[in-house]
Amino acid sequence: MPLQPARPVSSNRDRLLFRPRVGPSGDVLVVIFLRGGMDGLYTVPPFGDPNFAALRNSMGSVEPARGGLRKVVPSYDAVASGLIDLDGYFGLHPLFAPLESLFRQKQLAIVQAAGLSVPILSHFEATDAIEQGLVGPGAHDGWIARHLNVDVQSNVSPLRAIAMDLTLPMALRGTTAHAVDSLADFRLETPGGWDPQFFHSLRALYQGGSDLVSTSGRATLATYTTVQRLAKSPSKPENGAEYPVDQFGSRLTQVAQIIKAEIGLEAAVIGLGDWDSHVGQVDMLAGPMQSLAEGMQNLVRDLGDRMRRVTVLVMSEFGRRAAPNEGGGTDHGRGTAMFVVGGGIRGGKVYGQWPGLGADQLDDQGNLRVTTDYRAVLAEIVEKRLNNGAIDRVFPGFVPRYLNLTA
Amino acid sequence: MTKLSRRQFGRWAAAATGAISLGGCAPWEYADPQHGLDRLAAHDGAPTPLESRVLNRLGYGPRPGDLARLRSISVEAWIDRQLHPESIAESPELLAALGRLETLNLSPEEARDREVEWEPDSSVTPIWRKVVKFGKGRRTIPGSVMEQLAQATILRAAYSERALQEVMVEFWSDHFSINQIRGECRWLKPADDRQMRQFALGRFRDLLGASAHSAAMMAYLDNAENRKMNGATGGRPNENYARELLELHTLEDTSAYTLEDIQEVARALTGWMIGRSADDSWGEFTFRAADHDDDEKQILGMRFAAGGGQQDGEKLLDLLAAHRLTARAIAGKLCYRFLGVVPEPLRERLAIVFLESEGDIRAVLGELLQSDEFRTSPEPAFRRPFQFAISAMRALGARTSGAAIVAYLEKMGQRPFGHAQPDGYPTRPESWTAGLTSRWSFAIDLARNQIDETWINLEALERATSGMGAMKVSRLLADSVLPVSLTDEELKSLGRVVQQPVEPLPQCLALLLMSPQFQWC
Repeated sequence: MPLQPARPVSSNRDRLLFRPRVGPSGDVLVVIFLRGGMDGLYTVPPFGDPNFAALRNSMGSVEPARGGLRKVVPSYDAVASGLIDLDGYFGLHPLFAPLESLFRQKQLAIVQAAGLSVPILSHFEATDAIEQGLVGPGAHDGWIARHLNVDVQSNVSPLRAIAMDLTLPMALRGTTAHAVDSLADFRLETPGGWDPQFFHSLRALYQGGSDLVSTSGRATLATYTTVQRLAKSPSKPENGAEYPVDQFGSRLTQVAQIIKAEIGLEAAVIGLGDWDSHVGQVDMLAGPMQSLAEGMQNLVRDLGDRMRRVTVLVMSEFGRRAAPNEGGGTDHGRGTAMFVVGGGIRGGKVYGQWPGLGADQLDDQGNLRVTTDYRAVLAEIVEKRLNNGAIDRVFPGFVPRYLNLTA
Repeated sequence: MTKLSRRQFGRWAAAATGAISLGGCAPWEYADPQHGLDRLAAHDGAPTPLESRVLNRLGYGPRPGDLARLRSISVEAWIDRQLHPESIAESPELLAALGRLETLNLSPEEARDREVEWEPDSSVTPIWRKVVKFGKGRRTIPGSVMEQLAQATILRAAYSERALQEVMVEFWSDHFSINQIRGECRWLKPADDRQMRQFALGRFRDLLGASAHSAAMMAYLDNAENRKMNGATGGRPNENYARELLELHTLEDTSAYTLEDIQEVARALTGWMIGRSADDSWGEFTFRAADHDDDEKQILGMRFAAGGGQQDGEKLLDLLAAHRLTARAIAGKLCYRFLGVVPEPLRERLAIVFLESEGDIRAVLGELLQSDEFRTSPEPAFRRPFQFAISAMRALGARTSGAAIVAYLEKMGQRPFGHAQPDGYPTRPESWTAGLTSRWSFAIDLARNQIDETWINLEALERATSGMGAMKVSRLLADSVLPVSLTDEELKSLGRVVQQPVEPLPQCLALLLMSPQFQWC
């Protein structure tokens, strides 16, 4: 028996109460963070760069084949390998084929050679910096939290932000976001006959405290009334969408359900791991790449027209070294690719200035240089798609030069 | 399958795993005379802040009766005993329960062969793809090597008399974190765990050495693929382990070294590998001279002469283990674990003890536990999910096989040895407080005896509290379960639950475990 009588969440009253700022901007932001450092040279190969083949041919590639995957060596002969030619210079890895139509339909924009403007090659420091929205360590809150905190009046939903994860990522620290493994976490099953006294007493215990647990407990209790019905009977994927049958697919499914329920969600963060490809990269990245591409394709399909006010941002903490190591993997590097999908995105283009892969073009450690500060992409989304002009509060001290990838 | 009662299920499971049962009962099915829930009715009173800190931070929280035991020998004697776990007789019931987990002491090769069927025709797939007894995406398979190690970790934390030792095993398991689900680590981690346990209160150099030679660590952070530069392809040594060795296991301060240092460390560790072929023992450390880069190296300003062979790595570990920054890093982490804050003067003192004692962890802990900062520390420390779950079971005197607890921990985000990144599970409360539902559900299930092979003696508690007023019962339980006192208002609210017709005691126990107060210690 549920904690409290279920209240229909899709009633008009709820919609009015919780509806975020809507319109062409005021999008719901979905951030997919590729944890471990995603190799932008492998996923979005610059086959037109004259130095590319020599650097990467030895690594090989894989492509989908009947009954699984087929190894392709050498890889970056565009004709032989199934590599998808995007614009005559950049390609998409064959496993990213599901993203091709999004690109051709101009819903997907890619930014190459993006990243932190200073070299930080530690996972933990680079992830913290990027999720804090800085160039190095410094803040205790995340960029999405600061964005949400700019306006705490307009949207009183208890569910402004969620992380589909068991712990709260840095990007959401500093605001009352919920970390949930699944929608079931918005329900507390209590035995028959316990309510309502049990619930009253639980609230009483959480009423007064100012510690982190008390604050968060009150926020958790508030979501139960809002999200209970959704948690109990979630909607089915639409438009023939079939998410990958894995944790990532399940998390995307549930984010889509929350977006469709229109209960005031403004930001969702989903982590996708296993990009730290120090050895056997061709094998190691096959799983996460398929998951990511199929997941994104089906999220867009499922959300249909709703994509007009959804922006999906895919990013990682850094890229990989241009030259592979002795184990067929790549070590930590710098510039990498970012992906942005949405109805309000000017897609079909690979953005950014290409720094080149020549020995004199790479940095002195053999890494692809960063020519686009990742915050330029984030800031443009915050201002143009999330309707928040207070860029100086979200990214203190940063003066962005927009790539104009938003409509 | 016919639905079995809990008791029947217990017998069935015990029979299925070949467990020896005690008088027809599995271990989670009989009352513990010393630490049963009815012991709460004796009312030992509320602990002082120092008593609470000692019981909660040198272990996984008090069981019913533990406060009286502490008082019978004094705080000083308790701390001293815990610093010398070898002097404490281990609980025979724990040893018996561990004895039923037959994979704990298997060699890596035995562990693998127990769970792998070979596919001799497939010549190129990595070995771990040959696992056929594990369905894809399934994490929790009863009886597997992985599951049994998690179960053992839960049992030890819950029942070991050597409580501080278990706390330190958790500390080092985070410090030298390995994600056991990753590839061959499934079968390699138990051996690594045995080493962490052996040196938990020993010397840091031994821990570091054990980790550097650990096949699980080499598989996890890819040193098993770290070979000298190949002239033909120009491929460089693998930097993964080298980087984390400096950043996570020793120096911590990333401004103290450069990428060149990392690359030189990687060169020093080329050839440190895992035995794979018929002539090596599978899953054991092996040094492959042919893959080792034997030229000269420069690491952190120190010259490593050419021709060092395997000694390059040993010399490197000596250098790192005795480094001032390593001492500071370990001192800071220990402060946070035991105090919930890092007072700079204490950190400095601990770092000095670390250096002067050549990394003697027992000596560092002794200094920490004697310090004014620990004795008077007013800061609450946050209970991460593992600590929460174990403390909850201990507080209620629960009997458990640990088997069903693994899935609850996974849901709460802290399955033993399951952190995805090599930095160990987060320590700061901000990471954990954004999701409380899974904790609350665990508390409710535990208080109602709804967890498989896990049992609290509600009947005894009912008998012991019958005839008592609701306020008295709630005060009694709150004093025993919570590390701090509740306000009168909060007690009144609990008292109203105790007057409910349906499951009043489970409701009250669940609320105590769910309360904000129980999430800190």
